[in-house]
Amino acid sequence: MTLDYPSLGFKAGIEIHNRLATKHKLFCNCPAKPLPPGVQPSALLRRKLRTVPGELGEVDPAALYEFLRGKTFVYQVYPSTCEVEADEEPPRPLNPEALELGLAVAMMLKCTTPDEVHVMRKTVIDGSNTSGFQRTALVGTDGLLITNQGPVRITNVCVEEESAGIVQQKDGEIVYRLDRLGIPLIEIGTAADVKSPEHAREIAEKLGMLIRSTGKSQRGIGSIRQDVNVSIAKGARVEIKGVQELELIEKVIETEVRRQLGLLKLKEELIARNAVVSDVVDVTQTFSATRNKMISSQIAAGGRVYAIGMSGWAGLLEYEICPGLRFGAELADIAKSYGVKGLIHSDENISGYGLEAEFAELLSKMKAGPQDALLIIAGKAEAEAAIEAVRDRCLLAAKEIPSETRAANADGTTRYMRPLPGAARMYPETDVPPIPLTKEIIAQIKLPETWDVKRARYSKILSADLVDTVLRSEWLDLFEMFAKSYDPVLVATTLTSTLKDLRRRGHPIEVLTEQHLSDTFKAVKQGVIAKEAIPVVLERLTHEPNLMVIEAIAKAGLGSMSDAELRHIIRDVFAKYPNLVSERRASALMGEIMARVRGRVDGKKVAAMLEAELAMT
Amino acid sequence: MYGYSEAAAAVLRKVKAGIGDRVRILRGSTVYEGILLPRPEAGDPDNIVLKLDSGYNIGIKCKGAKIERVRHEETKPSEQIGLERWRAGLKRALSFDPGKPTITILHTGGTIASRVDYRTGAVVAAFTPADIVGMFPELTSIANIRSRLIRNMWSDDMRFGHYALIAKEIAKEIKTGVDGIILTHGTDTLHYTSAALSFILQNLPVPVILVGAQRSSDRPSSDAGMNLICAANFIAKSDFAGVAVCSHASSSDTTCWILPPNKIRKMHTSRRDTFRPINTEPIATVDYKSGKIEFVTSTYLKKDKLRRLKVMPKMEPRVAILYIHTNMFPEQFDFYRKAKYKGLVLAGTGLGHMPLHVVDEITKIHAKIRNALQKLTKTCVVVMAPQTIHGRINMNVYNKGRDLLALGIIPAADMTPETAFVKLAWLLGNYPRIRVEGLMRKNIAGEISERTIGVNI
Repeated sequence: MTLDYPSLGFKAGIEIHNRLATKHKLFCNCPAKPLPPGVQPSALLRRKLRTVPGELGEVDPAALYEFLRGKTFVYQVYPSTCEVEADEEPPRPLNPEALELGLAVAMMLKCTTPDEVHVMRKTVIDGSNTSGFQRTALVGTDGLLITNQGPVRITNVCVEEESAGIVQQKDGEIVYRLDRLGIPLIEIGTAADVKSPEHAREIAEKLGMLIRSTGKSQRGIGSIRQDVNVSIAKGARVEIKGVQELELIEKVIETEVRRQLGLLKLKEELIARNAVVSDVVDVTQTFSATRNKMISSQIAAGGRVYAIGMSGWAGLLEYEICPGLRFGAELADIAKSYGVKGLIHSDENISGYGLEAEFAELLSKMKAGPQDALLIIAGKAEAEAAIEAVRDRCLLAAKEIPSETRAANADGTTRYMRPLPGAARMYPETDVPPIPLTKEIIAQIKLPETWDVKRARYSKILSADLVDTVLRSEWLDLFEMFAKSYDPVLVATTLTSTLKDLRRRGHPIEVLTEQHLSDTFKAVKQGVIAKEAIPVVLERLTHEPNLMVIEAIAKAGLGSMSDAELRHIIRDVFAKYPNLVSERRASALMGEIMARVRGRVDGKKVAAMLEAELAMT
Repeated sequence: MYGYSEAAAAVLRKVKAGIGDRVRILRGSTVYEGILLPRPEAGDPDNIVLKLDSGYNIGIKCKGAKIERVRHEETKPSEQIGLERWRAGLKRALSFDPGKPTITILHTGGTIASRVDYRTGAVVAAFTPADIVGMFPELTSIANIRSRLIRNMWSDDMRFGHYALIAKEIAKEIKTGVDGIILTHGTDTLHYTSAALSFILQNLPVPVILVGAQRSSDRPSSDAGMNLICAANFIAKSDFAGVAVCSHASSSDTTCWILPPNKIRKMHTSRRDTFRPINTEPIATVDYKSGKIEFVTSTYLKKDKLRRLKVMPKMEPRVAILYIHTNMFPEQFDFYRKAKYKGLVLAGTGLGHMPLHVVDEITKIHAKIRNALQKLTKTCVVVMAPQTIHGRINMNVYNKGRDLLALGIIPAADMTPETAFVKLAWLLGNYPRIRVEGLMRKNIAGEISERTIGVNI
């Protein structure tokens, strides 16, 4: 079933975040680059965060929610981080390089820039910032992006801090690494002008290209992230965070629209059935002799079992709101966010849990009929908080779709994260003075070449197809750098198709450095290897990034081949396929020879010698 | 007006726009709409600050902009903004439970009592005492909390008069029979105050714990809550009496140290674990999560509510610290004589040294320094403490030290310069000079240790 977005009252906006490749972080002089995986932390910090009232007095719902969960945050400290990331030193002044890039992007989007930039604290107490807030500054408003489906209004361009990367989460503890915290990000937000999932993808792609054109955009997994805001008529504004792949945007939006449609259907059904939910009851007694190991171990550890009776809910907990998401799973996600392992409800196969007797006893105590359901959660204090939250969510299901923040999964589905934060979560960063933007500062901002100019320039050196691919590539800045000294076509194909192919085959191309690439191109230029050997060399480097290019070439047995060696191979192939030789099928022979040469000789040279050898037979 | 320049204030007055009002600013083709905020101290006072609906603040030049007021909002005084919700639950939390010990929190200001001031955008000490309890409701599950503001000041502004005032307020509370006192204090000079109180408050029947914070209380990551809660737990659950400091043991929010009041120092400008014991170990540790207390030392004064507190608040005001450095001049010493100082602590180099010897042409002036110092000791008690912070003064090792001893300079043993300064002022305020010199060398309140134990520096 395809969806008719306009008639559904579809509204969506996009926010894109892109890490900037500045020299330093946004508020300290640490390198603005995440460490490669595998580097060991030099120390660990264990911290707690509290919720505090904002500047206008309100307590932010998202912040309160995180506080009530009472998590401990463990931070991995690295030699590349300092006391600023550890929240042990006040921030240094805002990195001017990042501010200039932010202003350049704002100006490319025809935004208005303020006369004075104020750094704000955006309350985020999920632990991803050691301070409990993310520092962010608005540098542009009121801009415009031209798309194939008309103009899209840009509401804000901000320069902000990247959060700490999450390492793992277990038993009320979340582990974060500090190397990523504080890397400058550029955030661009659009108005709700997105017309369809395809349009969303086009906008995200265009904005990504725009940031890349500054030549200061970081690449690699996680360096660019899209958030989408989606709502439909009678639905609610839902923010979906962290869509990392451009390809997923359409799927995520479509799934969210289907989820909201499913929730609307569920609401109608609940109203029709007059469904209600009981208060939370402590039912530990009923489970005192349970066979279920999970529950008995919780009780043994001092935990309790809590239940809610759900009159008229039978079957609806298994109801599939949208493909791959049952309402029960949605409730389980909410429960898990409080730190419990999960929940059990009567729509499930209760005998699988060995809980038939207990459920039967509780249902009969409730005087429940076949139309009713029951849901339990076991654990300590977190279980009580979790079941209260689940109960609230069930009550809400008959009233409205809640506004919330969800996280994108790798398959395009989403999961519950937290309530939607309000505007109250911003207050001024008093440790960083406001920065006046004088006419002189604005006049100094260097805007990158426009796409049209770039396209015209590239058209002189690349085929039309390749121009397009390069302009969309995350490696655009490297193309600019290498095309000056090496064959532009070779550089372009290497940076686009070769790397893409390596990534698709599962080779970790993110470990490749600029040095690797430039030495490889140099080796081709100097005739050390043939251009056909590039994929082999790069593949080896992805697994042994500490090798120099010349070492990788040697290890892969790729040193250039002597004429005598090549002639030997050609004659060997001739001997093996006399028919092909007698039929003069040069292209078939060429394929066989190239496979044996494995990139050690330039294809043109092979063709020439093949022709010469054929002529002699 | 609210930190704005005259030009900006005039524009705002003209359209009757007040702080908190919703205003619209037209600049060229752009329209900004938001809530008018007061001007922060830094930046350009010509720029009008708006909080946009997105939550962001921005500054817009008043010149050339068209401003209109959209809606007038009744504004509340800044100290009330945001705290009513917390206060509502506070009355209930502050009701008396006879089963729990009672702790009085006395406030003097500082970062621990700080929040963003809505009007200036700066961090100011603006919490009333009840707000602190409101922000850390766990306190009321440990003890009945009474709370009072003595002063609202940055600790750098403290003078000896404040030590007397604080001592008086503590004595007043102890008379009412409380089980302990928490004194909130700015961290910059907290170790001066704690050292002073260790001399002023003699025979304490209950604990007096000083608590500060390095991150203001309006931050989610503030260290204030943990320091306060650990201090309250220590008072409620231990048999300790006397003055101590409760502060982060490390950069993590896991354990607090209970530290001796006169053998500590602020050792970092910004870290949570800034207070380090000097030439000694902590008195005890308090686990944040469990509240469990472990004593490191066993020789401490035990709680005894029948013990009679003796307050000796007098301090000689004309006492100073002089930091010894290379290339000094005699005038630096003459100053204290001419200004009639009664006591001077030299923060000396190494084991307790300073420029004194003439070794060549270049050092001829050192003879004059020796003369100046000699004259000074006639009217002023001069004490030598280590600028190395760690370790003990020993003026017998080099002839430099022996010369200084001969001049009547008193070694401060293993006291920090700050503790030596506070002790000297207190001794001079309460004893004749002839006794001061002897008492300076003697341990009175734990400030001098018998043995220099090996601790990490």
